[in-house]
Parts: sequence; C-alpha cells; structure tokens
Amino acid sequence: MTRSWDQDEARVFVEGLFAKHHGEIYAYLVRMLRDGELAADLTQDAFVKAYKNYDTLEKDENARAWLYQIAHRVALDELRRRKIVRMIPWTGETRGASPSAEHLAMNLRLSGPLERALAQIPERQRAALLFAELNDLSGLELAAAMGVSHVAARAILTRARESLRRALAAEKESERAAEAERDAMFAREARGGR
Amino acid sequence: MTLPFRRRHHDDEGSHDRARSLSSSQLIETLDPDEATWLSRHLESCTECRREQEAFAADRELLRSLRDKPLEPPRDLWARTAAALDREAAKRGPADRRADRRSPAPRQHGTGFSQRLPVGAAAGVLILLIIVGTAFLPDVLTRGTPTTPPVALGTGAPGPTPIAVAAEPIVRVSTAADGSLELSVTDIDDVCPQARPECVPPPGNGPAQPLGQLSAKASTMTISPDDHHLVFESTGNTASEGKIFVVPVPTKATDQTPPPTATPGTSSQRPATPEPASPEPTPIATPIGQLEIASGVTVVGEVAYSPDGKYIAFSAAPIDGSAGPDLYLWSAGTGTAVAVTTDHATYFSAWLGNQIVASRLALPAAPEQPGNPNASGQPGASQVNGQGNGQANGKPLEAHPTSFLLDPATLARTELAQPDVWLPVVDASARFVAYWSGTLTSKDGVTWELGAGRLLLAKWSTGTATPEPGASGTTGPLPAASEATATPIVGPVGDAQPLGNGKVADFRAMFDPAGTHLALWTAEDLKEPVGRLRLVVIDPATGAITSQEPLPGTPALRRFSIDVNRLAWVSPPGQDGQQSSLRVLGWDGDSFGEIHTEPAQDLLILR
Repeated sequence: MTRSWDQDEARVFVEGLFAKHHGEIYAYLVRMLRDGELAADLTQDAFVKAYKNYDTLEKDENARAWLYQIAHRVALDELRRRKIVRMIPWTGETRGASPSAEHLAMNLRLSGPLERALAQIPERQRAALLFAELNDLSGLELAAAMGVSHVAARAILTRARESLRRALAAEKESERAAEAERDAMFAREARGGR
Repeated sequence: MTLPFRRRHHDDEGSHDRARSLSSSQLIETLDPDEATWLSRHLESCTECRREQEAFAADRELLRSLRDKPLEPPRDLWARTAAALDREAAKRGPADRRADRRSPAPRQHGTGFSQRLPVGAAAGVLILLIIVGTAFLPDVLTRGTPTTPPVALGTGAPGPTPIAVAAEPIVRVSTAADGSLELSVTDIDDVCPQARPECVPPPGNGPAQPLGQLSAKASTMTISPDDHHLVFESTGNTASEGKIFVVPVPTKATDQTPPPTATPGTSSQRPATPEPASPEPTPIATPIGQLEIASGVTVVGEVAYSPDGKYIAFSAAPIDGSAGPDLYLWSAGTGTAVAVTTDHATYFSAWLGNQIVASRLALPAAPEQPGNPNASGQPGASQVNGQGNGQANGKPLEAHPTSFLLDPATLARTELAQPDVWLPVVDASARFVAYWSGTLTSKDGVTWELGAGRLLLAKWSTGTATPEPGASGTTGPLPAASEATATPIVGPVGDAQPLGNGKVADFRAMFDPAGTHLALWTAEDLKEPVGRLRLVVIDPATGAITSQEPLPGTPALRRFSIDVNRLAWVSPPGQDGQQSSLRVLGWDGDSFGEIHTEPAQDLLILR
C-alpha cells in the first residue's frame, strides 16, 4: 500500500523529517565516511531522495527507519564509488586546499581509539553498530534500515561486535607499542644527554 | 569426503554461537521468551559465553559514550537542503504538483538527480537491461521479484540494493609469485543482484599469511575451526611423503604459536606433546610446532576437524597400495592418529555434530586364490587393494556400501538402517540428508566410482524421534518412514527425491547452516578435477526441492564453502580464457546475486 506523491505534502513531510532527524543522519554519515563536508552533502542528498520517494513510505511510523535506509544506501554508494575509482584512502585531509578550523576539530573528534577501531571494521558492520548503539534502532528497524532480513541483521550485528572487539584490541596493542617506543626514545635521549 | 561444517553450526559450538548472537541481540531488543530462556540456561553453564556477553555490554557502553561527543552539522545545512528541494520541485514541474498516480514513482538508481525519464522510457530501459543481463551474463542471477525487506518500510527506497552477505569470511590458500603458499581471508559483505559491475567492487583480501614451501596434497588440506592449525598430507619426492602433519598457522606478531595440542577444548586434558617423529632428513623446512600424526599412508578423500576442534577424522590407505582405506581419528593432545577400523574399506564422509559419518564397502566374497593371503578374512581388503577377483574375468567390480555413525569418544557405532547408502551428508539440524543410493564400481579394485544408483535427498531420522499421532506419510514429498515402523531407525527415511540425472562418478555435498540450501558438486570423471556445482533450494516446511535453480550447474573445482547466506567456489582456469577466481553466490530470501574476485593462481578454499 503506497501513498500518492503530492509535492506539497512531500515538502511538508520532508521538512518535518529534517527538523527531527537531520542531526543524527549527519552524525551517522560522518562516522561512516569520516569526512564532515562530504557527510553534509550526502545528508542533503538523503533528504532530497526522501522527498522524491515520499510516496514509497508505507506508514508514517516507519519514517525514521525508512530515512535511515535511504541514508545507509547513500553512504554505501559513496563508499563503493570510492573503491571503484580507486581513490586514495581517507587520510584526514579535506578536499579544500587547506583544512579549516572546523575540519581540524572534526578530525580531532574522529581520531580517538574507538573511532579508529570503528573505521577499521567493514562498512556494513560499522553501520549496524552505529544504528544499533548510537541511534537506538531495534532489531527489526535495523533489518529494515539495512535492507536485510531480521536474521541477517542479527548476524551482521554480532559479527560487528566481534570485529569491533578485535579492532579495539589492535588499537590498544598499537598504543602500547607506540608508548614503548616513546619510552625507549626518551631513554636514549636521556643517555645521550648525560 | 567433505569438510566439516563450521563449528558454530553444530550442536556444541553452534550453541555458543547462538548464545553470542542472542547476547548481541538482547542489547537492542527483547528476545522471544523461548530465546531468553534458552540463553539464560546456556549462560548458567558457559563461562566463556558469559564473558562474551559482558564484553558485548562493555563495548556497548563504550560506543554509547560517543554520544557525549556530538557531531554538529553545518549551520547552513537546511538552507542547502531547502535549495536542493526547490530545484527538485522545479524539475518535476507543475504537472507533478498533485499527481495522484496509481503506481508508485519509478525507482531512481544512482546518485544523480537529473536523470529522470518518462515512465514509459524508464520501463523500456529496464526491460533492455534485463534482456542484456540475461543474454550476456548468465552467471549473475536474479530469481523472482526482488524481495521486499522482511520489515517493509516502503516499496521504493532509492539506490542499488546489493544483497547483504552475513556469513563469515572465506578462508583460502593460494600460490604466491615465488611458489610458496599463502593463507588469506576474503570478506564479502554483499553481492550484486543485477549485472552491474559498479554495484559492488571486487572484494579485497586481508593480509596474506605466508605458509612457506609446504609440499601439501591440496585435497587434504584443511584448517582447524579456530584457524590456528593446518592439516595436510605431504606429497612429492620428499622424505615426508605419505605423512600427515598438523602445523600451526604462522602468526604475524610472533612465531610462538603453541603446538597443535592447544586445539580448543583440550586445554584441561592436554598430555605432553610428542616430538615430531621424523628420523629421516627432509628437504623442506620444518615449521615450528609441526606434528606428524600419521605416516606411511595416503589420505583417501578429505580430512576434517570435528566442529568442536577436538578431533580430526580421515580415511587413509597404506601408501604402498597394499590395502584399502581405514578410518583414522586423531584426538588433539595425542601423538598420532589411530585407525579405528581394520576392514580396509571404510571411507570418511562428514561430521554430524560431533559424530563421524562414514561408509564402508562390502564386496561379494572372493574365491580363494592360491598365493593371495588377503583373499579372505578381511572383507574387502583384497578386492579394494586391487588384488581381488573382480577383474579376473574382465568385468568391473561392484560393491555395495553401508554407512554408520561413530562416536569418537566411545567409538560406539550406530549402523544406518538403509542399505546402499554411500557418503551421507546430514544437515546441521539433522533434518535432511544427501547421499548416493546405489553401488560403486571399480576397474582396478583401488579406485571406486559411483555405479548404479542415484544421488538423493531424503529426510533424516535420528532414531529418537517419536512419530506424531495421526501423522500421514503421504502429505509431504518426504514423509517420514519411521511413522510406519515401531522401532525408530537411524538414517534416510521416507520417499527420497532425486538430485538430478545423468552420469556421476564423484560428488561432494554440503548444507547451509539452516538446512535449506544444499550445495552439490558432481563430476562425471574421477580423473577430471572440474565438476559442476549446483545450489539446491529446499522448502524447510515440506522438505521438497523447490523449482528455484539459482546456480544450475556452474563449472567449479571440488572445494567449495557454504555458509549462512552464501556459497563460495573456485572457477576452474580456462573459463573464458581466464585464471581461476573465487566466486560467491549470495542470497536473501528468493533473491540471488553473484560476485567474482580477481583471478588468482591455484586457489583452494579451506572454509
């Protein structure tokens, strides 16, 4: 059962959606793509797609998960596009000539061990964790947002948790190694200074 | 002759995996009462699973701490979005202002918003795409209408819809440029439902683990459920020929991998590890921690770990060809594998939970022949090793098989009730079985191939099921035969369904964890490494083979891997002039899609 597309209705509906959810959609896209500027562009794209496809939403109560489904596909399309054109992996640089203060602040927010661990796990798993833990989607909503069955959503989420644990352990190990290297360097400098 | 199912698909390890999955799900939703009760009971007795649950909860708290670091969108985001909406509205024009369409808007693919076509033109393009896809890309399959997500939010959310693959990564071995072997992992998250190469990029491999110059017989190579150990039979003109080794998979960080006695589940009962007994010099480097578990034999079929990683089972025959194969069992923590049969005619088939499924060939009694000491006393021995009477009159030998279950801990044996069952493979939930029903033939008494008979799919009886009162044996395509008998039997029951026609010399079968998809590889010639791989879809309610043929018989090498919702195999070299490549068919409900990896040399799927 679908609704008919009406321009005014669609506009009002999407404006309401934007008011309620643009912050979480933007945050989700930032954490998926690790690029604030791109996330803003894609947030805009997601709401335009929601407007264009307003008539495909079956029930208003499903609007949030439906919007997440759109945002998820937008994010995966972008990530795929990057892989296909063999772009250089994200390094924290922005597309401008020099990073702005906003971007530096954003990079700082994304540079913690947890964010780095999240960045290391497969995209679909990362999305499942973000949806489930930061956006409080239930199992059924998660399945809907990811476009998979409930069983598959559960499996992806379990794998995601396992992947995150491994990635966090690797991050900790890497931090320990860096710390040991720093200590060794200080010790060398101290010996050299004597 | 198949690899074991993944450990999580079986009774013991499967229950731990289920516990993990439910512990994960419990954090975001209320479990069904049955699930909650099961999980609670399982956690009472499983310390490791309790720890996992606690770790999941701790990681969850960590993740939720990100909420304290809000990511503020740019202040002009609404202005930009509103302008984009205005542009979109202008493109639609006044005619669309109130378009009370009877059908939903055509789906928009891709990210461009200016690529709008009239409905009729769009439909024409869609039809053209389908025709082109069908004509030129037969391997990329879409069956039926694309599935609506089980939780339907809408009918036309935009964008391509690749099929998500929830299965674990594929573990494989390939040959590096210097001829050494490398172990690598390919994680495939999704496959394309249509012939659109831009839908999903080719999956990348994780970092390769160098295995060195192992002279391993590829068909015998297998990996432990925890990925820590490899098993293989040495081959080639080395001093190690005819030996079966368990070696630790080298880790990147350190070579301090514990010896194979550290296989999971045995830590508390681990006796001293015997030193590798290899008095003869060997021209290849001996990996650290290598353990020789058998010598003077050659593996017949494949080697397989039990799902819990405690045992390895295989069939092996003397390397000098003096006798046929026996069933061998190696218990992690012991020095060498032990032959648990002595008939020289037993073939390992698969694991069913933590029980071994094996088959035995029984030949007609051979007449006494002077000078042939093996001609009697050991059924099948002389015939199987090629010194029997079968080819005396120029006719091929014919043997009838029987099959049995063996408990590796007690060696208790349970014979299958039905005769002429060869290499049965049972799904993890013990509902269905695929097997050869018939005889085997041999020209030389050494190599046996499928003879007169058929590959069948039947319901499996564990011997403990109680027939439902009033159940009719004729309602479904596979009525349970145990309804007709007072004594429950073990083995295939009811009316079996044929799994295809035509000549078959060899086969390999594996079910997916749900028991609803059966991957079946068949070959017409034993000497030919390339066969055809099919995916058979089973209706879980009736056990009937559905008419769906998502993979009707693609050329494939013998090793393949099937998991939650994907089947992975290796295409043989020479297909379309290309090298081998790893191929994956994924599914979600009735939708199927496929993806290929980059070509590679000497690919072997371990799991």
